Amino acid sequence: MLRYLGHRLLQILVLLFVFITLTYFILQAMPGDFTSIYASNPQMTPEMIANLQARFGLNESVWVQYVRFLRNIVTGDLGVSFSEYPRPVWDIIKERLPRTFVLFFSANIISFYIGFWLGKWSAWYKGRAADKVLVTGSISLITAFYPLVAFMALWVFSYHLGWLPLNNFVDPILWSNAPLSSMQVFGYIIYAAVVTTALLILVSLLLRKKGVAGAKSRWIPPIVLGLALLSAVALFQRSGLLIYVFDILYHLLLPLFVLTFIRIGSSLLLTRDAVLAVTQEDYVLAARARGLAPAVIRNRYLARNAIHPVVTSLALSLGESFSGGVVTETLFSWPGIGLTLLRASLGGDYPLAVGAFIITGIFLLLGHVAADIATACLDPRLRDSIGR
Amino acid sequence: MALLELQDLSLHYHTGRGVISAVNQLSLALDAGESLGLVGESGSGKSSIAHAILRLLPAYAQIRQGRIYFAGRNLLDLTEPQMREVRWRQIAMVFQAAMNTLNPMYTVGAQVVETILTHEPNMSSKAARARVEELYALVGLPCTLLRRYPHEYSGGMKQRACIALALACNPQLIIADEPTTALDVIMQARILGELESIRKERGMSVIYISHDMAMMAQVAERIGVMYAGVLVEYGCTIDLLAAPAHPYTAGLLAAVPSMADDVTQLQEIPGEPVDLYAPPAGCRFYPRCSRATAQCKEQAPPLLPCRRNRDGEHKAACWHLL
Amino acid sequence: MRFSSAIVLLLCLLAGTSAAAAGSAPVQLASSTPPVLYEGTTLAPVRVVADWLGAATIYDPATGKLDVSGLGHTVNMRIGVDSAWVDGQPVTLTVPPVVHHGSTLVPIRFLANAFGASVTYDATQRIVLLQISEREAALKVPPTSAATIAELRAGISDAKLKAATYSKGGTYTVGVFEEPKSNNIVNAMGTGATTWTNAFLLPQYSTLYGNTAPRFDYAPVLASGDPGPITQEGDLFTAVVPLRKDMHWSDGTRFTAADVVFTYMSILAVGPDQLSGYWEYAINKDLLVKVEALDDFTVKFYLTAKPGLAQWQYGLLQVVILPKHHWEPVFKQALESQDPVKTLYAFNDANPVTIGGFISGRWEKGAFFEIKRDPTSNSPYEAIFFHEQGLVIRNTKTGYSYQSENLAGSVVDTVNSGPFVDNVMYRVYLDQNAAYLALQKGEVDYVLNPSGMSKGILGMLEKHPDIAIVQNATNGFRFLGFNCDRYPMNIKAFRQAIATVTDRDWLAENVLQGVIEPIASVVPPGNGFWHNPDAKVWGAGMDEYARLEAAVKILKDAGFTWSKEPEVVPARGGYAVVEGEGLRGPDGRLIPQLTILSPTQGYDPLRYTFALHLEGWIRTLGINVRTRPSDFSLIVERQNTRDYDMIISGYSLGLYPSHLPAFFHSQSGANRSNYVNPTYDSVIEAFLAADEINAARQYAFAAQEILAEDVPYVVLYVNPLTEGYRRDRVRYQFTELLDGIQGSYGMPGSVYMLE
Repeated sequence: MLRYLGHRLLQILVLLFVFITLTYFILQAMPGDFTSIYASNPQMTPEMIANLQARFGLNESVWVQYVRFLRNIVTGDLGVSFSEYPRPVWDIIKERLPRTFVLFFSANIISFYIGFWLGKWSAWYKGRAADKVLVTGSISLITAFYPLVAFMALWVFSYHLGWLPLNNFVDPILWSNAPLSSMQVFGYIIYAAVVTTALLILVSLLLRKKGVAGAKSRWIPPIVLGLALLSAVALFQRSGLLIYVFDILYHLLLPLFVLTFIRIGSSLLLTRDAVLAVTQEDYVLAARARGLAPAVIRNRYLARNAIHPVVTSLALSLGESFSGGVVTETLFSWPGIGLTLLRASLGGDYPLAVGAFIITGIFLLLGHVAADIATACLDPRLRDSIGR
Repeated sequence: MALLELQDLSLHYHTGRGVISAVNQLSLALDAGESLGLVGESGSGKSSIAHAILRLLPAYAQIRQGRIYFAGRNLLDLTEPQMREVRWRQIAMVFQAAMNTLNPMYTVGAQVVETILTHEPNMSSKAARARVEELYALVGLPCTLLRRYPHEYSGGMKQRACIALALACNPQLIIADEPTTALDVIMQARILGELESIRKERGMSVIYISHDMAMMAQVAERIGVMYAGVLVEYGCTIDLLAAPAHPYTAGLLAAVPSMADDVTQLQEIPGEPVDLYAPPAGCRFYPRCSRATAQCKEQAPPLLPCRRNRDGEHKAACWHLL
Repeated sequence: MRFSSAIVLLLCLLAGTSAAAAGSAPVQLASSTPPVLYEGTTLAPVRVVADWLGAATIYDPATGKLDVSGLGHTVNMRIGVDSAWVDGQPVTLTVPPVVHHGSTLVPIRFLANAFGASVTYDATQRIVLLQISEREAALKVPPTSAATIAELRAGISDAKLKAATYSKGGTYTVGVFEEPKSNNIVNAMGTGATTWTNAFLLPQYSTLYGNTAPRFDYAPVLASGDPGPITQEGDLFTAVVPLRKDMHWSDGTRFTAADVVFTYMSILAVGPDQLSGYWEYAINKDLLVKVEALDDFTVKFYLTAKPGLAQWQYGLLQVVILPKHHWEPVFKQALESQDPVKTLYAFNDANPVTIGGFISGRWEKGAFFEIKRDPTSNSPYEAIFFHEQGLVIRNTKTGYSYQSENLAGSVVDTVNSGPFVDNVMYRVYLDQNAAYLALQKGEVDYVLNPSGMSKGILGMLEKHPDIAIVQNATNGFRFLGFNCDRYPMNIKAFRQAIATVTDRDWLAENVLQGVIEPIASVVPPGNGFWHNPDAKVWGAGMDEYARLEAAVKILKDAGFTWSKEPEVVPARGGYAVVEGEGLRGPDGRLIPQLTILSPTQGYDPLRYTFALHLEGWIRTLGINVRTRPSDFSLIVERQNTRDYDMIISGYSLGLYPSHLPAFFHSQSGANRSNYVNPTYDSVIEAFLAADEINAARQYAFAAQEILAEDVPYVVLYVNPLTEGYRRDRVRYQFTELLDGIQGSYGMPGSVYMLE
């Protein structure tokens, strides 16, 4: 296992290097640079623009800039951005990434969970009314024009009904006197989520080690989850942060809802296809012959065997959670890494653009590795390939 | 009273290209403790009967007519929950090519225990595991294999595990569908031997389904020969093998090359299999029969007792018996 | 009999004269709320008096402002405030105006005297007599009960309390599209300058001199008078600037000359060319030698040469002044570090010291930022009175006053300095639609949008009863630029012909539905002071056919020929254009295929539309031209490298027309059209050298005439700026100004929240 991981990490590093180089040169190849926006400003004389370029190192050849950039990367210095000079790139990413992550990661997990669950039922009731409704609904969601759906949701729920906030991730009036910044609260939320997830994985592993999952032990993971959440709430309450955490979560609801809603369709159809493929297998017929209960067949024989493509898809999309989505971030005023990336790339802010690409690239590649490991863990037949 | 009785069973498959008449007016009876062999080519409908008994037919299959009596009840009248109780508890099945009949995600031991607990929910998991270990011992598998996954078993091991699985709930009837097709001769002999000894020990009934006449000779007390969905001959093994009444049976037997003689050329039954989409009105064996007449073409011969019946139960469906 | 008839005659005469005198018998003024005699001062409803006088009354209940004007006089009052201004002169009142039983009561004598009327009070009859140029009015004053006196007393002290801070308070919420780049004013004046950073920081600081909205007159802000004349002292040129003695920073420290000296000298020490941005633009290290403090409130500038308007009044003197005690350690550390500019810019100024009336509030990254009113600031007690020419500034708390040298005429507008709100909250909406939805919902009071709202959004907001729409001109223009170095764009007649066929008015009205305002001058008409309305406009007032014929004539006269000459022929009851082909220059050379670079339809549909039509118009002249829509950065690059035939682009401008030299002087690095005209150069050099604003204006006018004749740019249009705000929440003191409300970043310093 360790050898396998080491091998994969080496692959990641090589890929990352190629990726960075390509990105860097493509960005540099785009016409103009960061100082182009000043061209239409008569107050900026060409001498002034040249001075500015010198400050940002843009007057040197591309290769010189590249080598300098690489040297910094190796020492872990992502440089300072042009657009918020001289704020370090890592600082900016550190501020924006958690916002993106919290939103997109949650949306992915929830949509996959619901999509998987619904897809399982859809395959079970194939051909019946429920199945047709779910499939049609899924296809409509996938093909729907996302910005329109998002804006309509905004219009209906925020503007007309007023149930959910219209913008952003905090309520200014509440946060005017908050004792800590939203960045910190996002950090706490992620921290709580990571601890809870680790706990759940630990519990699941322990359960499996102990043997067969009986009817009673099915309830243990949900109970653990509930306890973890309750203790998180209690801790937040004690430190007086609860209201701020809730505010952020409240603002999370609408974009989360829209994102999840849109993505359920794809995981539903994926699950449905996988389950239908498994239905042809001999062991399913054998299970029926053995008189096993329908629920058992559905979960342990169909769903469990169909999980491979779904988990792969999930792991890959989790990698995407780190790059966000520009439309979502813009419409819901949720400034995250996606928007940062786009603006930096178009605006010629090379350090910020490449820095953001690196970070998101790392997570994306790690996502691939996680996908491989996850499928291997779940399928006993593959475990040998990763040496466990 | 017979343990299992099929009366006038007719089975159709509704495919995209048309309707297949897979089983045509089949009647059979099986007593408790008896072993029966169903022989025929692939596509003769023998597996369909097995699936029909356990009501595992696919959605596009339709039982046109007939009744399946098991221990006095017509299985076709039972609801799905009732049928689930019958499955495995009363009638178990050893599947054809056990390569893929076990869930690859869980250990074999877990699956057997699961099956036991499904049918005997009050049993403790410890007691269930104890029984599984007994069963493994019975079929000659080491208990360490219980913690292994199906892909870690060899073909023979899997087959034996499936037999152990079939025996898990002490059924009254076991249907063994091509139980040894994928195995070598030595393994085949061993497994069949074990199965037979267990059968005699427990007084179970077994239906063996195969295309292998030789295997049938070994294990079946009575044999039913099927061709194109029709039972063409039925009788006790010794009689049937010694003096087959139906031309097809004779052809089958003749096709097995003798170990004693010099064989230069395999004997085969000429002709093509019948088109089940449009079965003829007459005898389905007509195109390949050397003794066929016009009558055979027009009328389907009924299954009637033939002259040679030592214990009164040798039937054949032919206008021109041998 | 003769004696008695004489007496009768006398009596009749007496009766007659008194009749003549009275009847004009005094007009009996009636009012629903009777006048009140309060502690020796007679108060009456303002409208009753004003109406009779013939003056107009404007009362704003939201702000308490009470303005009465007419007969050549203006009186500015305020509810609860016992000082007022009469024609710009402060007057103290014995009793402040107060609202009583629904009427606004003011001291009669004061008001009447202000308009030149005389007041007499007949105590026995309890009648006030007003007399103004042959007219008389009488107002009965009933006895005032003790209860009324008590009520009035309470009302007056209430009103005084309310007006004491000159503040309605409340939070002014503005929707913005981006957060600031930095909280550090030095950074903001350098590379970090964006609209949003400015909105955050500029209200907190002040300059020595500035341009006062809405008329944008040049006036002192931290200075206390006009800058002294430039005098030569040896090799150098000096000027003295007096400073205000009544200003202090938000932490209580007094504003002195030390702060001014510190600011200029520190920037010089770091190097304005290193700092870039506005520092580099305003402070020229080759021009400014040093700044000295003559005493605590006087500074002296030492320059190497006599500066023009651009460098002096609109350059050096409009630099943000930094508090020395706050920034000195920061600059010290920066100068000791390896990269002073980077250290300076990186400084996190979380608790700034400010002077502009506001201090920084909270900046929640990505979400919102706010500025708070500085309660110690004296700014709310200040007002600016715009006269017909020049202005007057007065502060009633500190007694400071200033008036322009060329002051003339009466007061035409009054602006009260603020702040009048407690907080300004800027909420970040990344999507325009969401921001305007918020405006409709009432989540924000105003949307700060430098581009103005689109037509679609305008349609949405027009229907809302509580949203007021405001339209102003932007300061900038869009144009078709020629590369005057290339053939045939280097031929003047060629450019003039193209200018003639450019029918911008028709395009604006018929195709673009009035969305844009067509203009032909490089100084937009909205910049009233600098715009020359008499410069030539090619094809003015002509229709499509007349324009074509005029253009053809221009080309012919210059020696151009065609293989097929374009002409206008009668057709189907009107006219039709027959396109020309094969235009040849005066030297006989065939005009090569030319390219117009323009922004894409997605980037700017307006310019793109112009590009398409220009292509069509130019083609009728027999010129083989095609439009090439390109990415904006490509257009910028081609402009910089002067590698284009014709290009469609745009500029935003400042108030001072520095672009006249920058874009068109032959030696200017920003002259991207390669335009060379020695006459223009000398005119523009005189413009730059002028140190008096009206002289500069004459040169600017002359420059515009030359440009109109030579047409290096065919100016096309200017975008109007449409904005919206909640009229049920806020009141602006003015909404008509160049660049609209957003030009002053939402006007946080002068806006009022409604009750």
